[in-house]
Amino acid sequence: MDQEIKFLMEKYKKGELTPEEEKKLETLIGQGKLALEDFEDLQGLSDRLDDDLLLEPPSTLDHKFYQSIHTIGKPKAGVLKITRWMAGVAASILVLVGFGVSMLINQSNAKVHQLTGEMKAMREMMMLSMLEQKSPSDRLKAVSLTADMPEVSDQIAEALLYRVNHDRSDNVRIASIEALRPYAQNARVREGLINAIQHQHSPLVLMSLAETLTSIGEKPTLEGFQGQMNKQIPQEILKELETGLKEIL
Amino acid sequence: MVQVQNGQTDAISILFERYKKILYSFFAHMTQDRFLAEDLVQNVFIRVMRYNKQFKGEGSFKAWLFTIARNVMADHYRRGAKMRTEMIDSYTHELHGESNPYEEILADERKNFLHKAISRLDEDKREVLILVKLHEMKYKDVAKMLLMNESTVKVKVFRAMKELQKILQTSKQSL
Repeated sequence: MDQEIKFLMEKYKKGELTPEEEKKLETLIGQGKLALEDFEDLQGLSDRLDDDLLLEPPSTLDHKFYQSIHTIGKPKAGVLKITRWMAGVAASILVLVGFGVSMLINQSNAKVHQLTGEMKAMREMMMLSMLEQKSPSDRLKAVSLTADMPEVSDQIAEALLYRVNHDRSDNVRIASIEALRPYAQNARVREGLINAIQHQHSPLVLMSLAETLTSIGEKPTLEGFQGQMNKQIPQEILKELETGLKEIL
Repeated sequence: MVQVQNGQTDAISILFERYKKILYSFFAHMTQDRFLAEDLVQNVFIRVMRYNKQFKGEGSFKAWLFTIARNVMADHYRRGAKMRTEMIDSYTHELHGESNPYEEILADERKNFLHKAISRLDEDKREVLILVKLHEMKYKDVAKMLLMNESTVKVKVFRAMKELQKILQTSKQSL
């Protein structure tokens, strides 16, 4: 296959591909056996696209946006008038006063409840989007947003557990473990943290996991951690880690 | 209640600041109309505010956002507006201030030349190329969004690149 790719690439460079060979080349691209990066003639263009495709939006875009969200945020005048009118009727009919007032309170509470829900969903969405950022500091910021959340949804808990197990940065992993600590009453979080042991290689992350699990009353065995202490960890650190874990566990 | 509302607008503002540039670029390249691009970006964020609960966290947020963006654009054209076939307004003056040094002017011209070449691609090719190159979206996510398989997206990007290369080489004088 390598020979075939080499042959096709040579012909491509010379511009001598037959329609069948061109099709074959595209099949190889589709299969992922050839990537854009393999085509030297397209590299310059590819770099140019990376640099020059992004356009600077005009300042009027910001102005229009902030104006529109404030308009959306404001309560509608019509609704307010009806509410006042209803309150007036309720006040004039004594029998209905109590009923009317309780209706208004409920309505107001429902509105607050709805907006609180929307705000929570929006914050969660923002956090999930920030967790996808390339920069570890952005992901750390996203993790820190959970500190303001009275409770985390299953979706957020799953996203944090994913970070604990798969994030490239140990700092993000540790921050995610810390962020999950207050929600350890959630069975899925507890289970996720216990299972996370097997995905760790960093002594610091292992220590943080051990501390968190102990603090929430889940005392894992030292053996469970020892399995993860692979040979890549230097002996001195390994000894310190063992001592630390013994103290914690 | 005001605090609650403020909380929501704060969150949407952060998302706006983060994604306005790539959304604006997407719409500007796709519609060839920078004024329309502004309106469409705004419509995307209004929809994000209205339908934020529909984002379940499955898959990337960017892919979800661009699914909304594509729907916003499709709705705009469904209402009868016609898509421009070629860029009419130059982007040059938006990129820098008026007192550009010579090198910046050259760089602007180079960009402008590239943007005009992109506008000559078929809509399908332009879209797939912009989604992959501009937004650094994964082939997998673009495939899901465009209801294609991953291999088709890869081939389409390759074809778009080749065609763009050809346009740039052959139309240097006429652009």
